[in-house]
Amino acid sequence: MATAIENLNLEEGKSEALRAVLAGIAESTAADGGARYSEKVCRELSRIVVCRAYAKPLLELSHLIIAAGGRDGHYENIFWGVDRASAGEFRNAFQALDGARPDIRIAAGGVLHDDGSDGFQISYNRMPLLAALLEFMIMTVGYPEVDAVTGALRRGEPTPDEVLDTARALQRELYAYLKDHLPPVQRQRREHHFLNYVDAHAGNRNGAEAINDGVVLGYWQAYADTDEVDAKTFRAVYDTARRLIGALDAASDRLSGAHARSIGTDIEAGEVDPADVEAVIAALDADTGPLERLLETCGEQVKFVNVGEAETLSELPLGDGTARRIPVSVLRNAVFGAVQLRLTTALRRGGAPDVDIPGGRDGYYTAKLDAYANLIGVTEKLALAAIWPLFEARRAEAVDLALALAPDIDWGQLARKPPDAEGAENVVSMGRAGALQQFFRIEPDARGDEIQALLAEARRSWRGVNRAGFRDGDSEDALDVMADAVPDVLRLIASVRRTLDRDLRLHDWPQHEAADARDFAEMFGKLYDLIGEEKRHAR
Amino acid sequence: MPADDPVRKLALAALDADAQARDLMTPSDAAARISFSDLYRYVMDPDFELPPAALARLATDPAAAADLERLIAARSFAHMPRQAAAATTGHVRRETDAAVLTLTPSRATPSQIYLVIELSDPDAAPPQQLFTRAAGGAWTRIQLPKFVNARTQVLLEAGGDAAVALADPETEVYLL
Repeated sequence: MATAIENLNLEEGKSEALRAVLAGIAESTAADGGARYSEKVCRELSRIVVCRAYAKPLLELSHLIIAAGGRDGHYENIFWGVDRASAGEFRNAFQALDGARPDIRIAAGGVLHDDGSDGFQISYNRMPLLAALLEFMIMTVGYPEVDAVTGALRRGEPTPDEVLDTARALQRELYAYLKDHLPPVQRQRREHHFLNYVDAHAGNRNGAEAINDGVVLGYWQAYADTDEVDAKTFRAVYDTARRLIGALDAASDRLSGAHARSIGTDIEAGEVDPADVEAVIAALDADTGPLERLLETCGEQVKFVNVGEAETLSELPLGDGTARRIPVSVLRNAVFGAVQLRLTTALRRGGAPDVDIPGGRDGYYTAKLDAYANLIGVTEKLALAAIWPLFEARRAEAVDLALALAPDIDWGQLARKPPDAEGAENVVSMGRAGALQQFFRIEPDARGDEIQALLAEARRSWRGVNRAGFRDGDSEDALDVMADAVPDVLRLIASVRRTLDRDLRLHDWPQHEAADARDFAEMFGKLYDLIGEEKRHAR
Repeated sequence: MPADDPVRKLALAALDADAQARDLMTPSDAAARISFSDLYRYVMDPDFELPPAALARLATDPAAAADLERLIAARSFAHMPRQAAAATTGHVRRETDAAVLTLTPSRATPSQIYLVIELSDPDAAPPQQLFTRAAGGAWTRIQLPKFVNARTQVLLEAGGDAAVALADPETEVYLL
């Protein structure tokens, strides 16, 4: 009889072929050597595959194959004729096909297949994923097979039923492949174990509401020193709680909304709809916080946030409901999670740990909150400084920044045509273009009106900054990146301020500091055999 | 929260599936398959070279080879299948309705060999590439010079992969 480990190896062996296909797609290149498919698309593809939520995408793909086939049915020329699978490249490719088929209409936002019924529209934004799915189908089921199954679509003008039949045939092919190559999903022991503990301590609370600071700390204290589950570090427990909060909130949102259920899923019998599973993971992916988005937009070119600042700000959970539900755990993780990391690193290196453990009267939580506030203040100053080069370059983003950073200024003056303007008998409203023109004509003056003073302040701030992207000699590219990053930096500032003011400030932090200094010192002592004074100052 | 609570079940199912999706995207020892995107570029873009490692993988990946063959066959100008017998004189001739291919050793330089392709229809849009598939599955590609009067000529190294493949009666040839 096969052992559990042998079974596990067999399951892993099954998935190697699938892994090689997904890796092939992720590694396929565009002409410039960059990735043909974005990381986001590859991730969406793997999600669809694992959740087996491919029914709807394969129906969309079937319609898209008709549109891409044009006059001669060579759909490959569109799917692989584009170098990089992006919405923009697909838009250009389809616009070149305009008029190729009477049943296909090329619109601004996507392609419409007039199938004699209600019509079927596929947006350009969706096409990169559908192209990756087609590539996946070909690499798993086979090109000759996909070609044969979709052949009927490319001849004549298929009816909605014929398109649906093709989509179902593709589903069957993929189902058969995955039956042999996709192992059953493994239960994530850590999350299941934690949630069982939550159940036992949640009282009458449900869903993510049941996860609170007491439960997170209690779980760590109960299991950190056991072999039952890997919960030795507070940070690991906090991360588990955070993942569960995100998943429970997303699941609750999904189930409370109205969605068409997948055919064949028996919800009454307790089955989980694969489309719901896929939607919840998609929601978790979409929770990428504003900090990550800003860093991605800016790269190395514009340092609204430098490496050290990013590291500190990343301690704040900005993209989900964590700070609202477990605010104290956020700071426990930031302070004691970091202490524990330093302790374990020192012990792993074999030396005596030389790590300060905060004391009950050290004011460490309030100091941490002040550090976050000061740090986002620096980002705000940089955003203010950024107004100046954008203003000089007459970029509209300068106004977006100014409006967000100084909302109390009388901006209405820009929207009113001055009474002495040529041809104006009275003060009248102007459009956005006119307001922008007025804005760019303003002379900065610290002693002038509010807008003049703001611009003077922006210029002064700009001259005081020495960071990548904030120097006079920086490239034109850097200015473009800065302009692109304006919405992201404003989101980050608003999100950090909101998290601090709404979720984190309103607690009795001195009381938590006294209790946590004692509790964590005791736990660290137990976990790492620290004794006496070592608990306060592990040396 | 009861164990059969739908929110709880959905959340846990999502986290389990998410972990598997991330795991599948993690690189492993298994080599990545050649993507269909790369095969398509290899066929359609004469300037695009598959790296040697990818070509070697292609020879041992029957599914990818079948995809490549289908791509080429669906677009080929002419297909010259396996021959019944090997040439005995060093001269090779393959013929279809669309083209005639000959391989003739150079008299002046024995280490070189002439590949000549003549098209039956002088008005036909001429092929730009020649693909060979050896019996063992290995693919080679030759970029063809411009046709003049429906004829083109390429000088090959006699011992090179392309010449050896073309001389083998088991090799299939596609003009594209």
